[in-house]
Amino acid sequence: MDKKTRLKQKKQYLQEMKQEIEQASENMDTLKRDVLSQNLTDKTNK
Amino acid sequence: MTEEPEFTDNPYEKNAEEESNEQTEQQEIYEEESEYSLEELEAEVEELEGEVEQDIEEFTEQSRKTQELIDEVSDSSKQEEFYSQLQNIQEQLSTTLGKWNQKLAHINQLLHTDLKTGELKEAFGLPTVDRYIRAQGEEYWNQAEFLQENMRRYLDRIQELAQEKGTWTSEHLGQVEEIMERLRQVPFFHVTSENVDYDTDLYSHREMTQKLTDEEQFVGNTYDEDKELGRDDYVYLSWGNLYMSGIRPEDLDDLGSVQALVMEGSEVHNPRCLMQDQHMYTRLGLSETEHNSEENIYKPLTDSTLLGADYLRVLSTALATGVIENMDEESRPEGMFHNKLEKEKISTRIENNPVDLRESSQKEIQEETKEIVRMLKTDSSDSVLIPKNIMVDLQSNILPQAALRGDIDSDTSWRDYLVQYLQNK
Repeated sequence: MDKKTRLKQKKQYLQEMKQEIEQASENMDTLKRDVLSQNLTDKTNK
Repeated sequence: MTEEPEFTDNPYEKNAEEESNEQTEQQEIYEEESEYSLEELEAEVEELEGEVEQDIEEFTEQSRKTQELIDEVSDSSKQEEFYSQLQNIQEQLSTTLGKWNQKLAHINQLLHTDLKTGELKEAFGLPTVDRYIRAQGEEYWNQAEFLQENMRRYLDRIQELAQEKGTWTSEHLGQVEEIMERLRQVPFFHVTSENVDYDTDLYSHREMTQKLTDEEQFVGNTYDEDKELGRDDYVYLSWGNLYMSGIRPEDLDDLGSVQALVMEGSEVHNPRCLMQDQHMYTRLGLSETEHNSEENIYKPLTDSTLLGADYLRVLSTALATGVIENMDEESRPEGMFHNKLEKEKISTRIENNPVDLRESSQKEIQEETKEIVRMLKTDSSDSVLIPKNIMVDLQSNILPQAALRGDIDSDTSWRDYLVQYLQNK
C-alpha cells in the first residue's frame, strides 16, 4: 500500500470519527433540550 | 504488511453485504480522489485532523454546559436519569473514538515508516534495519534534486544564524560551497546490503574522526561524565538506526539523530555523515533554545520532508564541520565498538575516582534499567523512550544482532524482548 492510499485511508477514518462526534453531539443536543424543558417545568410548578 | 488491528468488540463489524457495499464505496472514494496530488491529500488530511480536534473540543464544551443545566434540575429522580444519559453519551463516544484512534495510530505508524515499495519486511512491527535504510536510500535517490534545494535552504539558515552570533567564517562558507558541489556530483545513497555489519561500521566512524581530526575523538553518546572530563566538544558521530530511540522510527526525530551511510555489501565505501546536529550548534555558539526554535532550521525542512530533512541536517552538519572524507577501510580495527568504548570510559572514570564513579555508574544503570522495564510493562504507547546509555548497547549490539540472527521476527514482541533482555542484564 503506498503513501497516498494510506492517506486516503486515514482521511476515511477521520471522516468516520467526525460523523461519530456529530452523532454524539446531536444526542447531547436532544438531552440538553429535555433538561431545559424539565427546568422550565420545574420553574412553572414553583 | 502488518494487518489492521482487530477489535474484539468492534461495533463496526459489518455483515458480508454491508462489507461489500462499503468496499465499493471506498473504492469509489479512492477513484474520485485519484486526481489528488499527494500534497493536496496531505493538506486535506491535516485539515480534517484539525476539524476532528475542534469537534471534540466543542463536544466537551457542550457536555459541560448540559451538565450545568442538569445540576439545576430540582426533581432528583429526573436529575439522576439525565446524568445517566449524559454519561452514556460521553462514554459511548469515548469508546468509539478510542477505537478509531487505535486505527489512526496504526496508519500513522505506517505513514511514518513510509514504506514506499511495500516490500519491507517488518520485524516486531517494524522494518528490519537494513531494509529500512535501503528504502530510505531509494527515496532519497529519487528526491535528490529536491533535497539539494532543501540543503541550500538549510545551509543558508545555518549561515544566517551563525553570522548573527558572529561565529561564521569564510572557511565555513567555502565548506558550504564544497558541500553543494559534492551534492551535485554524487548520489546521496547507495545501499544494497541486507547483511550489514553494524559493529564494524560503528567502529569505522570513530576511526574516521580520529584520522581526520588528528586527535582523540570520543564517538558515541554524550554522557555527563564526558562533560566532566571536558569531552563535550567533540564531534558527535552516531550510528543511528531504528533501535536508536526506543524502536519506533518516528522517535528518531525526537532525538535528532538519524542514519545516513553509504554501504555496499558489508563494506563501508564512503561514510560521509553520521552526526547529531546539536554539536554543530555548539561549535557555532548557538544555544539549545535557538536551534529548537520553530523559526530556525528545523521548521521549514520538517514541513516538507521529514526524512529528507533529517538526512540533510546530519549531512550538512558533518560537511560543514569539515569531518567528511573517505575513510581508509584497511585501517578499520575489528571488534565491538561500543564495548571497547565503554571499557575505555569506565577505565578513565575508575582512574580518576576508583570507587565512587564505578558505584555510581552501576547504580545508575541499575536504576535506569528498572525504570525502562517498568515503562515497557506499564506504558502501552508505541514510543517508550529509552535512555541513551542503555540504548547504545541495545542499538549497536543486542537488537541488530538478534534481528540478523533471526531471533526477532514479526511474531516477536519487541517489548517482551527488551524486558527479557534488560532483566537479564
